[in-house]
Amino acid sequence: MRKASELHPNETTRIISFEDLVIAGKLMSMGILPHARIEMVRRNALGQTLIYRINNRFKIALRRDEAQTIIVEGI
Amino acid sequence: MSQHRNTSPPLVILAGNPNSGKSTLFNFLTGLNQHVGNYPGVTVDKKTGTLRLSADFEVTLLDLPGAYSMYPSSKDERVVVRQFLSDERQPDLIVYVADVSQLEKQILLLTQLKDLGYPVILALNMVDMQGVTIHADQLEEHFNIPVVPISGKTGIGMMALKLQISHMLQEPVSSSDPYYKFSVQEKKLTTYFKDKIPYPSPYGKLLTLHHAEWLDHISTDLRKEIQDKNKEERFNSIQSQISETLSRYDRFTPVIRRALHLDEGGAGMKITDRIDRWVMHPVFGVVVFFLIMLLIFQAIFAWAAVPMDFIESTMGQLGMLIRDSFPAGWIIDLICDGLLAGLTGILVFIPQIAILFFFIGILEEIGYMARAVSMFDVMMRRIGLNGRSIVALVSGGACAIPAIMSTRNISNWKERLITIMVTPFISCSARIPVYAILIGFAVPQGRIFGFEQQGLALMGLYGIGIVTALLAAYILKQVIKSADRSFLMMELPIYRQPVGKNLFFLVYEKTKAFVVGAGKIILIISLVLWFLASFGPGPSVPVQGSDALNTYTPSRPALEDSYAGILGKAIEPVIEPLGFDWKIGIALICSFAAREVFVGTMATIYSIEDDGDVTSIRTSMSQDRNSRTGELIYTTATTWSLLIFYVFAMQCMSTIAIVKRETKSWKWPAIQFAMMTGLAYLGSLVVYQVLS
Repeated sequence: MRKASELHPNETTRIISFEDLVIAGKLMSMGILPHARIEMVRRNALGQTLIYRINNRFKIALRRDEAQTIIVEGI
Repeated sequence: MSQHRNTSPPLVILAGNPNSGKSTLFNFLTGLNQHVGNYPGVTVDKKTGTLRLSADFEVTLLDLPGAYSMYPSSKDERVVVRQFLSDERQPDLIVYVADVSQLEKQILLLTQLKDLGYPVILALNMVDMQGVTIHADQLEEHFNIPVVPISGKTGIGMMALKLQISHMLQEPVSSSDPYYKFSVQEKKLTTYFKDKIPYPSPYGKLLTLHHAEWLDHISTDLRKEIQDKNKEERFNSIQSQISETLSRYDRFTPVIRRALHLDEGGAGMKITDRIDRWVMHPVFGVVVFFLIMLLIFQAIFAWAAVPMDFIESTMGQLGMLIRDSFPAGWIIDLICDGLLAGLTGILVFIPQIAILFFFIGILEEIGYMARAVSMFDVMMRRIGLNGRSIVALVSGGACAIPAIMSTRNISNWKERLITIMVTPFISCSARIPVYAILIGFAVPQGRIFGFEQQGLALMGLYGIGIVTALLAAYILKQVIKSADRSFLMMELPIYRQPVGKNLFFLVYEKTKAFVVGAGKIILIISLVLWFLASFGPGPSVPVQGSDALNTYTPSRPALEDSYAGILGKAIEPVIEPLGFDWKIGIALICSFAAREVFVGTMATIYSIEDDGDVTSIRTSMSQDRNSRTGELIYTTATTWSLLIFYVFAMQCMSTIAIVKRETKSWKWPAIQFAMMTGLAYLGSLVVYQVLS
């Protein structure tokens, strides 16, 4: 299982599922759903803050522990 | 719902996600006819205004805080749900604002509000943006609600929106067909509570089941019953929320994909990416942030000084004018030294507040703030603060008051509280005159390693303040309990031009909030201080009565015979271990009005006419000897001790007043006062005992 926090900068894949239900509820209400395209834009603050682009539409900043709960495609 | 028509104007609520342009639309529609209040229990601005639809038809417009869904994750976000589910007045109409370029992620809340049974208009904002094509008719057909394309910035579509609002208020259409189909379990539960939960729509009942724990308008019995029943039925609130959300998206996503066409990289995305490459760079990003802050700082010092001097000199002249025109007496003293001084103390902060919020507003409007917050989130979170706290801490270097007011958009209560508590440790501009006059006694002029020694000492004092603020935050993080989970999950919106109107209203509101919210307390404290400094138990106490007033010649007791003086002498045993005598005691008490009062008090004590004459004050201070021991008072040890005291101590009634306003209780300013003054005492004690 690959996590969104493990993506390389500029790498694009798709979201499969979420591990933390509370975070999932929040992410979904912000438009981040399973099957969404997710691209890692950059890692900031020594990899503790991660910037993603979702569905090629908008950018969002996540904490590393938040991104770790997002399961993505790929090995 | 429309029985209100005859008594009060209809209520129209503006709802939408953060960054949907809701506030721009609100400012456009209401203009100066707006009022900012507070939601009960939290410090979230409640903005209402009047919208005139025709000569004799006005409606009340309420601008709800931006929200993503009816499932809030912080206390502040709960006001949106409370607005609809509690006993608050129900809206006659909802205008739902959505940014057209982000449409597919801004529709969730719309479908939820629709299911609550309200008539809704969808206002598609920013339709004038390049690279966006939208088929509003397809949305109208699918959601079965009127859709109006608008631009809050240029005013496109405003006429159509107003017409649609009038029309919907006269002939409200709300669909009875629920957008979300309940699961078997949800159906069973809502049917069970059909008559017990008063909210009319089934979706409102379902949300009450979800949020029973914190919805305070329902009775304790009902809450208990809901919780028991939920447990019995194994109702998993989060699971149910997620399947509801997914089911809603499943319905509207294909519709929006068909109705909306966005050019690749359009709607400002390309430019945003180009700017972000620099602004969000791990190294350059931080440099850019501090450059921006430096600029703001310069602006505050450079621009605020002129109006501040103007306010002070005008008020001073006004005082003189009053003294010249009326016979002297304690009433005139009260007006000039108490009332006018207090008023000056309020007005003098306005330039700093206005300038700081002007810049914060620009950063917020163009979309930079979200980036700054995400950059400093990790660092700040480790010590119990929030990414947004960095703005407050840096602004605290100018003045703690606007800095504390800027913490409002930290949605996690604990993080906001800690930010408020530690910001006054950062040395503000009012400490500079005190540092300037004292540093000369502590540090001789000269250079060390090519640096000016006194400058290094000044830097050290600032450094102590910063380190203490961060340490205090870390300690408070361990002490203050909070159940709220903290998240970042911050959307980074595309860069936009700031809207002038929004900036104007932000500055206006913040200034007004300070004057109205803190002004009263500042006035009362300055009157008390005036009383303490002007009256004493001695024979020169003025005689009461109107006859006596006319004949009374001003023979104010010397400061040392006043109550403040007596107090200063009374605390001498307490402050003696710090190396302070009663004169410093008086200055400490009077400094409570504001730190810079120290200089004026010294001038009064040493009977120096012009309190701007710093050299004379310093000469007098340097020659002053202890009356008992005959030793010089301002030795290195005493001066350092006093400097440290001013670094730590809470000596600003305006800060106390604003903390009271922002935390909605006297508890936190009291704790803050005790914490800071206690630390000041300990710090000074250690410094004096070590150095002497």
